[in-house]
Amino acid sequence: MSHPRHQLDEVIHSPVRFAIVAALAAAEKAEFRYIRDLVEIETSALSKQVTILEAAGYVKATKGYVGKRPRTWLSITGEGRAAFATHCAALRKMVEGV
Amino acid sequence: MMKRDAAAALAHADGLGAKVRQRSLWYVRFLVLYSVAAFFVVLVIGLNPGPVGAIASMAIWAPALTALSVYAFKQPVTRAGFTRRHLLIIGSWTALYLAVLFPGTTWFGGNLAWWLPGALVVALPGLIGAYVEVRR
Repeated sequence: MSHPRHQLDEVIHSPVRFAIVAALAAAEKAEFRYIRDLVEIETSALSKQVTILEAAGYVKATKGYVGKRPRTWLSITGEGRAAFATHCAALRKMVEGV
Repeated sequence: MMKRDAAAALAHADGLGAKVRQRSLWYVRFLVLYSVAAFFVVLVIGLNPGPVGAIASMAIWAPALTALSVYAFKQPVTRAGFTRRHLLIIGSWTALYLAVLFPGTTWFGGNLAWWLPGALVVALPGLIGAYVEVRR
């Protein structure tokens, strides 16, 4: 069980969720639509993935308004940031062949 | 997962992070415009002692702050650590603004030698903040 692949996070391991978390790790908060366009997925697909990430405690979704327009903001939690850092560290070990 | 998949995933994450940081640079424009407005507000107050200066400064400050707030609220993303850095900049600005304004209105009304450097000092937190944002 010493191979770094065992340290990969099962929730973040999915390519789409990895991309969502990677984008949110660089942000304090980001609009749902911005992340949807950045990651290049459909609205329904992003909703589904955000639900999974929320259930894992990695992402928080907050609803609000900009003027009269409803907006959903996404942000990464402390737990999500730590999980992403661990996941990336495992990936780096794999690249380095450790 | 293969070594090359891991490398590709890391490169993808770096690319997404870079795009988010690039899109967050709206805050640089915000800070520069805020600093310019703060500079003129202090000059107008200082060089026009009394109610004229106060009214004229509000005529600059109120629309500038409204426009900047609308601009900020419309942005789709803020960079990690945004709130902490913003509070630090606004806190510094407030302290310097008061440090220039109180002695200035008490002893140096209309004195350009006080108000011009004072206005520059008040503009500094935003300009330094903008510089740091660009450099990150």
